[in-house]
Amino acid sequence: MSFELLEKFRDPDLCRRILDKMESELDRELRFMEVCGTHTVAIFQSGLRSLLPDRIVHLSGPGCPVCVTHESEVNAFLDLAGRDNVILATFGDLMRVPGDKGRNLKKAVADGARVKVVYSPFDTLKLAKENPGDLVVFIGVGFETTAPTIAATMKMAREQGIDNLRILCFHKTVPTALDALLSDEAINIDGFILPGHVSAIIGVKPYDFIAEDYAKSAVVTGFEPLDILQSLNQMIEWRNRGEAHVANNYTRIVGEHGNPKATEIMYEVFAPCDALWRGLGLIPGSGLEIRPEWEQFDAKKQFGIEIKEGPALKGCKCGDILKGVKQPDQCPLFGKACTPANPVGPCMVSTEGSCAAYYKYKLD
Amino acid sequence: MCLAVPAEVLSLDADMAVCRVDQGQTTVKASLMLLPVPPEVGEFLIIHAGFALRVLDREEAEESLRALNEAAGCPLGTGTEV
Amino acid sequence: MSDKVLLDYGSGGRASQRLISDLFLKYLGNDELDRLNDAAVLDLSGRIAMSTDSFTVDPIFFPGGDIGSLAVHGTVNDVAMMGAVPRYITCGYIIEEGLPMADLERIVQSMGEAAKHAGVKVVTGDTKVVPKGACDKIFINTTGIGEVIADPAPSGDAVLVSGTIGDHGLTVLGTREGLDFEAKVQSDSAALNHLLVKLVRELPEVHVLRDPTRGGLATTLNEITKSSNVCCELTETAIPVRPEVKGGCSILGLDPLYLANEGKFICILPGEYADKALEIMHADPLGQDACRIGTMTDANPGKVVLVTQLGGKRLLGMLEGEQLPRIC
Repeated sequence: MSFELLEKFRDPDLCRRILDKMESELDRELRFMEVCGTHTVAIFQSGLRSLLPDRIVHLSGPGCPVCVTHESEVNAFLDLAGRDNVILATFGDLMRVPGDKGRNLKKAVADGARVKVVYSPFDTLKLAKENPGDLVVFIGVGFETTAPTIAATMKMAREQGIDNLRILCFHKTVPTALDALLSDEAINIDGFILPGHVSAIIGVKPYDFIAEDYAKSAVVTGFEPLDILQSLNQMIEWRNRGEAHVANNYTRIVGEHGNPKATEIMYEVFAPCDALWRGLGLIPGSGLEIRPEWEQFDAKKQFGIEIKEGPALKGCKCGDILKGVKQPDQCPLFGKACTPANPVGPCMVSTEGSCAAYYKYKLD
Repeated sequence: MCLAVPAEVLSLDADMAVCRVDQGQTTVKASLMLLPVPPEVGEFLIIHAGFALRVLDREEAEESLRALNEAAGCPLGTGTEV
Repeated sequence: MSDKVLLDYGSGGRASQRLISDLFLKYLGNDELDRLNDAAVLDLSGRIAMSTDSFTVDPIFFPGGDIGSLAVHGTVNDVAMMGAVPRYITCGYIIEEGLPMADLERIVQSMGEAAKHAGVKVVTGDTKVVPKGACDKIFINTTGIGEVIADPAPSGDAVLVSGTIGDHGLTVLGTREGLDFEAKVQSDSAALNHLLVKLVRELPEVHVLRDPTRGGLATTLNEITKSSNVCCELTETAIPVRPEVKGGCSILGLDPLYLANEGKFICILPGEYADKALEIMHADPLGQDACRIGTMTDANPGKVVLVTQLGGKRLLGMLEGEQLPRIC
């Protein structure tokens, strides 16, 4: 293995040839959805979006955990931000996510809140040790790629006898969300590009239902341009043969059974539960909560936090965008009432949500 | 939620590895807690939020590139060399 | 003098006098400053370029520089970017009480060296000491003036950059956040005026000189295209980025095109002079990695477009605010 070998997955010449082949085999429109903020960025940032034939329609799904963090979850952590003796630890992605009344973590810091951006959840262990008089509360967002890292951190905290760390668990899981999306009749998607790194943890089997129950194709895909093109190419071929398959194209990292050790650690600490998704509402069994044996770390219990559905975001079409029914520029709020500076719905909230990506990268 | 980087293992120390990212000399520390089997020096890991998630498989990478070349109508032995 | 900066040192009495003579005059002294008048009286002719900036960078010491050298380079460069020869700068300090005297001395010494190297004189200054918590360690304001020798105009063909991109931004972010990665990066903070003046004097026409500081290359180019209503088309593979900066950025999920640079500049000039400009830059230690990165065009006016490694195109827009490490 070498960096040179990995570089080959970006070869412009090979990309060009696969694109030409795809164009010649495409007999009608192909609407594909990628379900991972990182795929959204990869497609735009690499310039691949501008090279895809017009009849290949790129839609971005609810795969950005920051975007789908529910308004009441955001308000919950914003409420904690101003508290005495609380230090919030978070990934940088959450700093500008808006809560009610125009609040966000950046503004909370300006008002005196103690918020530390961390690169890894295990940075919270040091933070907790250095601030014994305070509670360090880590905002846990992320899918199955990230949840095991928080679970591992909690295990380390227990081993090291750290008693002032709390986790605000807002983790969500991907396959259940995909099922909910697909069961909506309004959905207008031909195939899915599946998240490569979530799959590195959970494997390929959890997605079988996409072909079995819904007769659509889905491919576990890496993040280089050639990874994405290969998956699209396969989807076109299968469709031309009248078939639907679930397959793995990211075999250099994803094994059929994923990473059982990581999954084991994740479910040792967390259990599935119902969860609220911004823009999509309640999806049963799509979240993770901290098990009773680990409740010493549970920030929701510590602070009596309850997550409830609130009023819908007026005029916001994120629900339709996440289902592939509309494109960002078809939402009446896009670029006017809803911009990266003042985001309304989930698709604009994270810097890598579909509307935000459109706004930031798309060339007309 | 998948920003993860490939990195080469330079040294191992209990549950942590020091890894090199990209061709420069930038190194990052990663926890190995989530790996079923400890990696060897020289292997490549995929690292997310300070944790190694998997070891990269060279053979699979080469196989993927072969498949890509075939798909592009470029038979083995020509085009992008593996 | 005490080993910590105390409130007394800013109050104008004997303690202040000692600070001025033992520290500031020692490292920054020259004919005009030594006079210690309420105002400096200077000889300048023709059109004058003037710029001011306040520096609040945290951490105050970082690989490749410190808040002092940054404060000199930043203002000297801003004046030079207008096609002017920087001559004089002022220096105002706001110091948090309790700052170690050794740190202050180190910063002032660094400023003295930076000023000497840039060929500018610190001619007047001010010091205030504020109670603990009223500022973060030390803030510095510098104002610079210089004589204009060339007139910039917003149009032009070739887009050149004087060297590698993202070094300062990554260094400061990495050092400040205490991130557990070791990258052999350091700030590129440097005074560019000598090289800039040379370019302006030796090239028949230079249209824009700008240093891509806060917000990085992408932000600065956006400012230029918006104000001149042209488009800037960049070639991704031509933009020089050190492997260490690329590596650090990939771990943190940052884009080097939006990271600050403190010792680089963008030069936009008619295509036929591009080669000569590059020759001049390559001959200078601060321009070794200079290269052409793009062209000004008419398509998509007001925008910056990146032609990617893959051969596709995307918008390189303005950021909302500063970049933060991400995992998404």
